Amino acid sequence: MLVPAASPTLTAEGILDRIQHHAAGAYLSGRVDHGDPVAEISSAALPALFPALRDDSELKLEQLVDVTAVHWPLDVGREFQVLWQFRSLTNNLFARVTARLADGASVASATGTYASALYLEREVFDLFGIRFAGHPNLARILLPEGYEGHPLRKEYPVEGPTFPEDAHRNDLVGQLDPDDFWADVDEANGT
Amino acid sequence: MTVESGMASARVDLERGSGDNMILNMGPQHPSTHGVLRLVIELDGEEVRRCDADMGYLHRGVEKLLEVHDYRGGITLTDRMDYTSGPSNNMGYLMAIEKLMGITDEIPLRARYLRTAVAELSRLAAHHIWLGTHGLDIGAMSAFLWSLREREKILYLFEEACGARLTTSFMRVGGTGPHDVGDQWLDNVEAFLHGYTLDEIDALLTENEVFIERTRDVGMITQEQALSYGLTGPVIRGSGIAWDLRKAQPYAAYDLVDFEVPVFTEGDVYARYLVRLNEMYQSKRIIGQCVEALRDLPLDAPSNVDLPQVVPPDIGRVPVDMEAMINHFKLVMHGVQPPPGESYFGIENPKGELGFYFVSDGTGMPYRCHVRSPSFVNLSIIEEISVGSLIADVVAIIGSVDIVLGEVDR
Repeated sequence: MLVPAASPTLTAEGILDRIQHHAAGAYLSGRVDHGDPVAEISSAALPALFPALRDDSELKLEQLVDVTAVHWPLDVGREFQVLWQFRSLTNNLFARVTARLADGASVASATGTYASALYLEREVFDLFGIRFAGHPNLARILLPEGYEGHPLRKEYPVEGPTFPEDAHRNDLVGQLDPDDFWADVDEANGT
Repeated sequence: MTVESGMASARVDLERGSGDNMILNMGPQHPSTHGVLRLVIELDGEEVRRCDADMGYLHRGVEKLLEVHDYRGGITLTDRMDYTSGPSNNMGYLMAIEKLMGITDEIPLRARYLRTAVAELSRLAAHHIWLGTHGLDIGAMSAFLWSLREREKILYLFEEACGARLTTSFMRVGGTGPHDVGDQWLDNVEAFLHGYTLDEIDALLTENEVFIERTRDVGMITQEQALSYGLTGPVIRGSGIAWDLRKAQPYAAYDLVDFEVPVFTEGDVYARYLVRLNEMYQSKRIIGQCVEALRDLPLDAPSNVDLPQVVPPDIGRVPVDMEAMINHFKLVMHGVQPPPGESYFGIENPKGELGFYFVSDGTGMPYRCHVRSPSFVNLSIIEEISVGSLIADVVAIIGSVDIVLGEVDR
C-alpha cells in the first residue's frame, strides 16, 4: 500500500531546483506562483525530462495530472504556452512545467512515460491543433473527425463557424426601430 | 468493414479486426455506458481483444464558453459538467477563483463548514447514483430503487438551500453568497442523517454471492497503472494508494473534521465498490460534524469575506448608502476581477480530482479556463483493463470506474 506523505517533503523552491538540475541548459526561468512551483523550459529538453522527473527519488512526480495550453495570438513566434502539471503522490508535491511554442511547431509527447498523456494530449491537439511528436494515435477526441478548426484558439468565433450572420444579436439590435420600441412600451403601460 | 455512426463517425479503424473476430459497437445509446459513451469492442468469442472508447457526443465547449462569461456567470456552467454532484463542482470552481485572487485564507469559517457539508452531501448523492446503476448493471434491481430514494432526500435539501435540485449554482466567490442556511435547514440535515442508513443496501450487495462473482478479480488495476494513467478518486484508492486531496492538501474545513480515507489493495471492481461504500459512511460522519460546528458558530458569524470588490453589499444598504451603491454597480457591471496571473486548484470530487486552471488578464472574464475533469482521465484506463475480460465484465468495469459523460465531454 502506498501511503502519501502527510505534508509536502520539498518546498516550492526545492522542487524548482530539482527541475533545474534535470533540465540543465533548457531551464529558462522558475517562479513560485500562488504557492505552486512553475518552471519554464525550452521544449527541446522535454523527451528526457519526463522520465527524469518521474524517477528522481526526491521528486517522484509519478502522475501527469493535466496537459493543456493557452493561446497568445499577439505573441508572434511563441503563440502557444503548453503546460504539464505533475503530482507526486508519495511525496505530496505539485509542479507545473511550461514551454512556449510557435504556431505550427510540434512538441514531444509524454506518452512514453505517462499513460495519462494518451487522452490529455489528444484533447490539446483537438482543441488547439498542437501536434505531439511520438503520440501513438493523435486523433481528435471530443470533436468529430473531419471537423474544421480548433475551437480554443482565440481567433475561433465563440458562436461557431456556421452561425448565420444575420442571427447575431448585435445585428438585431441595429435593426430595431427605436420609435416602434417605445410605442410598444407605451402600449404595454397603457399610456 | 466500416461503421457509420452519424455525427461522430467511426474514428476507430475497424479494418484491424483480424480473422474471425467480431466487432461490437456498444453505445452511445446503451444503458450501461452511463450516458453517451461509445465503445468499439473487438471480440474473440466472448473475450475482449481490443476496446476503443469514442466520446464527445455531449461536447458543449464549456472551456470556450467560460472565456466569454464573467466569473460569476461561469458558476452555472460548472454544475452541468458532473451533473450528479453539482454543488461539489461549484465549490471547486469557486475555490479556484479564490486561490487566483489570493483570498483563500480569508474565507469565513461559516462558509468553509457549509461548503464542506454541501460537498459531502453531493458526494453521497453522486455515490448513490453510482451504487444504484452499478448494481443495476450487474442485475441487482432493489439497490437501484433504494439508492435513488436516499438521493432524492439529498436533492430536497439542496432545493431547500438554494432553490435547485441538480443545477444548483450554489454559493459565490468569497463565501456563501446569498445561499446561507438557517437553523431549519440544519434541523432537516440532522433529521436526514438520523434516518440515513446504508445497511440495507450493504446487506444486499456486499455479501451477495452473485455480486461477488461478478466483481471480484474483474477489471484489475495495478498500482503502476493507476499512477501512470493519472487516476484519482475512489479508483486509485481501490488499488492500494491512499491518495485523497481532502487529507493530502486540505481545503475548506477538511482539516477541522475527523474522517478516514478507506483504502483497499485488491485493485478489482469489488475493491472499488468497497472504497465507495465506506466513503459514504465517512461522508455521513463529516456532514454530522459540520452541522454541529455550524450550530456552535455565533448567530452573527459572517458567511462572506468583507471585501467590497468581491462580495456585493447587503441589498438593503444599496438605496441609502452611496458607497454600497457604487460597489453594487461595479460588481454587477464588471464582476469580480482577479489580478493578472495563473493558478490551478484541484478538489476531491466524488469521481476524483476536479481541477480548474485559470489564466486571468485582470478583466472580469477569464482569459483561459481549463477544466481537468476526473472522469475524462479515469476513462482512459478502460481501453487497457477491459482487454482479456469477458464482454459482460466490460459493463462491470465501466460501472466501477464511475464516469459521467457530461464531464468527460464538457
